[in-house]
Amino acid sequence: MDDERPAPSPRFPLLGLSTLLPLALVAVASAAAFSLHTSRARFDRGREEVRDELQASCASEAGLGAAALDLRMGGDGNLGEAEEPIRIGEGFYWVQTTRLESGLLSVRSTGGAGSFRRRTELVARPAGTPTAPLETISRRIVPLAPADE
Amino acid sequence: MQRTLIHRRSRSPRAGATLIEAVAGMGVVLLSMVGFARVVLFADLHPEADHEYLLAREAVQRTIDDLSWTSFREVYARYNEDPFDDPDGAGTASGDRFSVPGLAPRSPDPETAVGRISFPTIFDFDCGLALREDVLDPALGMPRDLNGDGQVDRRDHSRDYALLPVRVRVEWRGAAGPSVLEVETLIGDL
Repeated sequence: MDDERPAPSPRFPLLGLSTLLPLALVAVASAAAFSLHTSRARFDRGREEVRDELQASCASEAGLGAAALDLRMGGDGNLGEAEEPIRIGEGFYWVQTTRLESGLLSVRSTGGAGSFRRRTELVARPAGTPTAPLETISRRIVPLAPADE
Repeated sequence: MQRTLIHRRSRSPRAGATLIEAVAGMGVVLLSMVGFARVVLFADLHPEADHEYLLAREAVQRTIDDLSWTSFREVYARYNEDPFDDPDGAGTASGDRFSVPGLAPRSPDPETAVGRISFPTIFDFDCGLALREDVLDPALGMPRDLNGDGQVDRRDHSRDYALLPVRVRVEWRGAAGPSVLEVETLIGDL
């Protein structure tokens, strides 16, 4: 009867190793995957920030162009609002135009994309001709923090 | 004979389990190696891919600056894909394509450029390339009135536009694979 039983298994010491090794490798693979994921996410976020900064700048310029056309058509140069901006590409803009006491126009175009905001301020004289509605006197770019919206 | 049979029956499941363990173990080792290789490869390519993206950003910014500094009435003619409407004679203007030093085109086709400027146009076999207000392109804010007459029509506005929607796109074969940077803006008569 004794001969029919299997011999004491020499696998028991190996069983621990053969179990621990895959577990360790799974842990390493998981760590590598996590590291890759976070690195990739950081990389993608960096790209998004570069694109958003550029798109915010373009959106701000777009607002000035759109306001110039609006003024030419007899509008007041106010387009969109901070709460309801006008979309362009992945960004958006809104424009506030005020008539100064001197008769000049102050056009403030705020562009944004993602967390970036940029404002372009223009002081212009109404040229009074349909082909060139504004004669730019000064222009400046104001980078904004999101809280300055 | 019977003893032998009993021994075989008792050993068989162990042998199977060992084989499964070995295959699973090899799979795990392979997975780990692939994971490591990707991490190392990505870490290695990361700075290069970042550099490429900054090159693309500078190229897009420079192109938009060029468009803004061009006489407003000539922007469309100088930067569209039609060489026959160039203000200084056919084929004399920059056109709609540009290269970016340091960035490789996605396609090996020599006609393929890394950078491209586009407007809301429609090609018509009778009229050729036309700047149109009725182009459906929400990202460019289209359709919209481009000449300030208060209407959106189907005419060519290449000669009377007062607002010019523009898209600048740079696409390249980069260290991190195919990459694109694209922005849209409106150029006004300022």
